[in-house]
Amino acid sequence: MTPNPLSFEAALQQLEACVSALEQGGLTLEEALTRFEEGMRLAAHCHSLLDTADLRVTQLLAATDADRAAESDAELPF
Amino acid sequence: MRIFDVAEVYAQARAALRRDPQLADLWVRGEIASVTYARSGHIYFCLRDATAQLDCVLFRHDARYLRGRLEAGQAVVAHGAIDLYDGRSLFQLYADLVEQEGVGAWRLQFELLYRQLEAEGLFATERKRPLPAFPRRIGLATSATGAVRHDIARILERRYPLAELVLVDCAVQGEEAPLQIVAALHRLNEFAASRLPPQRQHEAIDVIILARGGGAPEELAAFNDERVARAIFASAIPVVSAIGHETDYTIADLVADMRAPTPSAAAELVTPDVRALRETVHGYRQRLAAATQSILQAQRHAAATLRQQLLWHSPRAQVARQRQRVDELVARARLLIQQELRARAAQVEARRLQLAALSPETTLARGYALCYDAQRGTILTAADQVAPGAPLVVRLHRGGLRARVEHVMAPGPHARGEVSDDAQSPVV
Repeated sequence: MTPNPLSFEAALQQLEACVSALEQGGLTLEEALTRFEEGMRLAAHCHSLLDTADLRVTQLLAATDADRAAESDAELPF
Repeated sequence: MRIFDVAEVYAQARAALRRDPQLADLWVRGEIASVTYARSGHIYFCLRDATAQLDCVLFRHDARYLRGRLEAGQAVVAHGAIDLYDGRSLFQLYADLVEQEGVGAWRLQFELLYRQLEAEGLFATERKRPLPAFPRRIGLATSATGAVRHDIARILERRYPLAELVLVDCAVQGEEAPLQIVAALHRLNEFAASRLPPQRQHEAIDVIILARGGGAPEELAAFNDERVARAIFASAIPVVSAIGHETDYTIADLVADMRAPTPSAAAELVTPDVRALRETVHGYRQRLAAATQSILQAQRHAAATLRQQLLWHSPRAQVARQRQRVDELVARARLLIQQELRARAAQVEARRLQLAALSPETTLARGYALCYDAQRGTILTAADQVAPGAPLVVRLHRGGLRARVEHVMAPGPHARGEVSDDAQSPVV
C-alpha cells in the first residue's frame, strides 16, 4: 500500500468536490486556498495512482464446497 | 375387488401417468390433422401419424409465442405434458410449445427454456444492475486454457491497471461445463460485498465477467443451460457476459446484467479508460487553478479598492489636496491680477488720449505762440512782466525763436496781434 491509502475513486470524488466548492464561490480566502491545496494534492495522488498502477492478477481455485479452504493468491505472470 | 367411481378412475390413471416423468416433459412429432382457434385464445389441434392420433391443446399463454399460424397438414414438433381430461374422456397433450418440424432439437430446447425463464422474470430489464464505475476487483470466470483470460488481462492492463483481476477457472464446453460455470460463479460470489465482514470489504469483487471465446453454436450449449442461467440470476455481484462471437446470443447473455459482444469488449465495458481518467484529473486541476485564480483576483481587487479608500483618507493625501487647493487659489489670484492690470492700462491709455486732445500743441498749430521769460522760464501772460531788452523764448507750433523785447505796451484792445500804427507795437 502507498502511504496514502485513498482509492482512486474516492480521490477523484474528493477532487471533484474541491472543484465545485471553488467554482461555487462564497469561500473565505483561507478556505479557498485550503481547498485548492487539497485539490492539487488529490490530483497528484490520482495521477500517481494511474502512473504506478500495475494490474494485479489473482488465481482462485474453483473450489468445490468441500475444499474451498484451498485458495492460492499466487500472482500470475501476464 | 374394488369398484371405482368414474372420477376415481381418472385419479388412478393420473397417478399412473405421474410415475413416468417422461410423460410430463415430452417431445412429440406429427402432422396436424385438424386445428381450432377458440374464442378464448386457446388452440385445440389433433396430431397424427400413419396409425395414431393425439388430441392437443395449446393454451393462450403459450400460444402467443407461436411463429405463424397452425394449419392442418403442417408437420410440427410439440412439447408438453400428457394428461387426462375428465369431462370428455380425453387423453391429451397439454402443449407449451409447437414448432415447425425441421427446427433443430437444440433450438427447441432453447425456445422452451427461454419462455420459462422469461415468464419467471430472469430477463427483466428492471433487474439489470448498473456496473461499478471504478471496479477494484474484477472476477473472471473462464477457461484456464483459452486466450480469453490473456486478452482480458491485456486490455485491463492497458485500460485500468488500478484493478485486480480475480480468476476462477471453469470448463466452458462439454458435459462438465455447466456445473463448473455454476461453481465458478458461486466461488466468486463468496466475495460479494454483502457477504464479506467489514474488515474484509477490500476483498470485495465488484463485477464478474463470464466469458468464452468464439465457437460453433453447439459449443455454446453450456451458456444455454438452465443451471447456469439461474446461477447468473442468483449472483449478488453484477455479471457481464461475453460469450462467443458478436452474433451469438445465449440464455446467459439474456440473464446477465450486461452483455458484451466479445470478451475484449467486456473488459472495456467494465472499466474506465486510464487515458480518459488522466484527462479528467487534468481537467479538474485546471478548473481548480482557474477557480482559485479568480477568487484571488476578486480578493486582490477588493484589497486594492480598500487601499485606495485608505489612501484617500490618509493625512498625506489630505495635505496634498490642500496644497493643490493653494495652487489653484494662487493661479486664480494671478489671473485676477492680470485682468486688473489690463483694465488699468486701458484706463491710462484713455486718459492719455484725452490729455493729448487738450495739449497746447493743438492751439499752437492754429497760430498761437507761447512766450517765455528766457531768464525765469515762466510763461508771459502780461506785457508788464518783462522790461524792454529782456530775452524771450517764443515757442511756435514747429520750432521756436529767441527774441528780445523792444517795447512794452500797455494792455488795450488790439485785435489778433496786428501791428498797430503805434511804433510801440510789440515786435516779435
